[in-house]
Amino acid sequence: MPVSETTSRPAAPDVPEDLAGEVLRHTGVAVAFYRPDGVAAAEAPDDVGAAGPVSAEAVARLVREAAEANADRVEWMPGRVVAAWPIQRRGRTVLVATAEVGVSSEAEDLLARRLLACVADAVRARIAEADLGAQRDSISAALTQSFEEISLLHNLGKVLRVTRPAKALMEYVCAELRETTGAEATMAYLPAADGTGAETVVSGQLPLPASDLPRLVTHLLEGLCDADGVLVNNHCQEDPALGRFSIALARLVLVPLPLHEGACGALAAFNRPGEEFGSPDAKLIRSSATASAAFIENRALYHELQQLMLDLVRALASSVDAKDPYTCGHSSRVAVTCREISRQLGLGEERAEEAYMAGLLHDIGKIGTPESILRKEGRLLPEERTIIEQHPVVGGRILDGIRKLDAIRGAVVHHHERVDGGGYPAGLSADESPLLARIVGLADAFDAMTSNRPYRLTMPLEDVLREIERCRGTQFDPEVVEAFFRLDLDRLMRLFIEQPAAGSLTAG
Amino acid sequence: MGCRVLVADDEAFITTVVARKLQNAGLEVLVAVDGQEAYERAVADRPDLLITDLQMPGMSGLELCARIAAELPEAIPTILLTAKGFELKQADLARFPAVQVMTKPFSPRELLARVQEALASAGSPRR
Repeated sequence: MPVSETTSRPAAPDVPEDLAGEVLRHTGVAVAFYRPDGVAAAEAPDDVGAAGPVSAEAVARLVREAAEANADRVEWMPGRVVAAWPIQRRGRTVLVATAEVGVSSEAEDLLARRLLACVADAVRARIAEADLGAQRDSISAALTQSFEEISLLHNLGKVLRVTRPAKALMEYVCAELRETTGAEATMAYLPAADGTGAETVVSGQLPLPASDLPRLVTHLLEGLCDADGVLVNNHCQEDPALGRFSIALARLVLVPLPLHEGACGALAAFNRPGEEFGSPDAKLIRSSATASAAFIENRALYHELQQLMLDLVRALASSVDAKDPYTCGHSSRVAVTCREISRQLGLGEERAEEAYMAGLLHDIGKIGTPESILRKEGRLLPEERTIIEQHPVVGGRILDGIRKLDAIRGAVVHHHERVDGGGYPAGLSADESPLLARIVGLADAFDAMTSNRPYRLTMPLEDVLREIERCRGTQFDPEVVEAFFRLDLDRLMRLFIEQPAAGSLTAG
Repeated sequence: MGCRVLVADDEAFITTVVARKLQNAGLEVLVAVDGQEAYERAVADRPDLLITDLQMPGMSGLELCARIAAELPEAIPTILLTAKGFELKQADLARFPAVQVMTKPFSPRELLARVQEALASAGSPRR
């Protein structure tokens, strides 16, 4: 809405384009529009100027009289009848329409007056209609903007996934906010949890170098102490402190993004030509910030919990490894190998992490196996073999009831199956045992062959690979073997030698 | 309740939405599209409550409040319904104890609740 007029009168209604021309064509009556003070409000159609001998002064006087009396005026002037009709909006005269018809007799005079009355009604109706149309347009525009804002907030809910990196989320938020508010640039400032450095996400054309953003945000956040927690400044250039950052910075909205204890980021919009920022913008940005901050916080908590679980699982796995000094770090090495094979098979990161966990936990059932058997040098007796072969089932039982590890339990139970069905405990063949179990089976055998065992010294890598090749299709799944052979095994082995326990190998 | 509320805003969708909501709650609603019209209606019709925009052509919402205060013996409880709420300084509002601020976009339900609360605490209608 225009804010320029200083008059207390409501803005004059728009005269529909070509209304005068239309009236002239249909009725032969020349219509013109004036402001209530007698000044022409709209250009008269060209052919109206030549309408007759009525002087401009006489018309202007009639207009003023009609406006003052707030009533229609019809007057006979030599050879014509001239009418002036005030057109009102909200009870006040905002426009006066005039019309004239040439007459040559008293009878014609009466007809002319009737014709003018009809034309007056039609003109008023058309202007009222145009007024309503303009109102409808403004309501539609407001509604459109509301819909945009609502759908931004709805969509925000959809993109808040804990598996999505915080930066990717903020990129989405910034782009959407820029589109919706019409700002030239939007920005998210994300300080690191440990206070070292910060990440900045920008959409659009910043009015200042991106490298200055941290200082600007810090400056603005310091001044932001009011309860609303929102900063709206449409006159940045009048603030010398802000002027030091950029003379191009004219308008801004900034809301804090409370991320971690002590650390506070910010979400901001910069510059909008033609329209000041207001509370609708500020509230939208604040809502986006609140949702994003809660998400980022939850995401951090989620990853903390995930890390905790992983650490617990690792502790559990190393408690098994600890029973037998020869198998020190075995679970971790199998875990890393499983993850590498899964990635090579293109199973996706989620399955690769499952494979890592399965590798960590595959021997958890050995926790119940007597150390005398585990550490025995030389061949096992048949009854000892029976006991040790129970460890996959015992492991499955230990993990039973941990819903989060459902997918992993199958791998633990079946990691000693063979694809030819000759393994244990169930004698499952390749298509019956879970893929994860087949992966663990190979990784387990590989580590057993490459590390020292009480009953055998380390085999050279070439021999190990030959052995795996020999057992492809009988003991090992051919596809898993193929993926395994594609791995950079030298790198893997080096990694294991450098970090024997492999405990510090991170999940990522 | 028989209370009369004057709604002043140059944006048609605001007056439309607010008028509907208040009328459905049984309030009498007068609409003005600018400060001047609002002033004239306030003086002539003595509403029990005023809801006004801040930025209107010709006369701002706060100017309107000042002029009404100068003309009428009693202050009219006022809700300033504005997009500029975050920029208003407390000092600007200090002169208008009867004015409370509500920022756009607003919940029509919340606005109605505030209106009813303000009317209740202002006592029975003057008429």
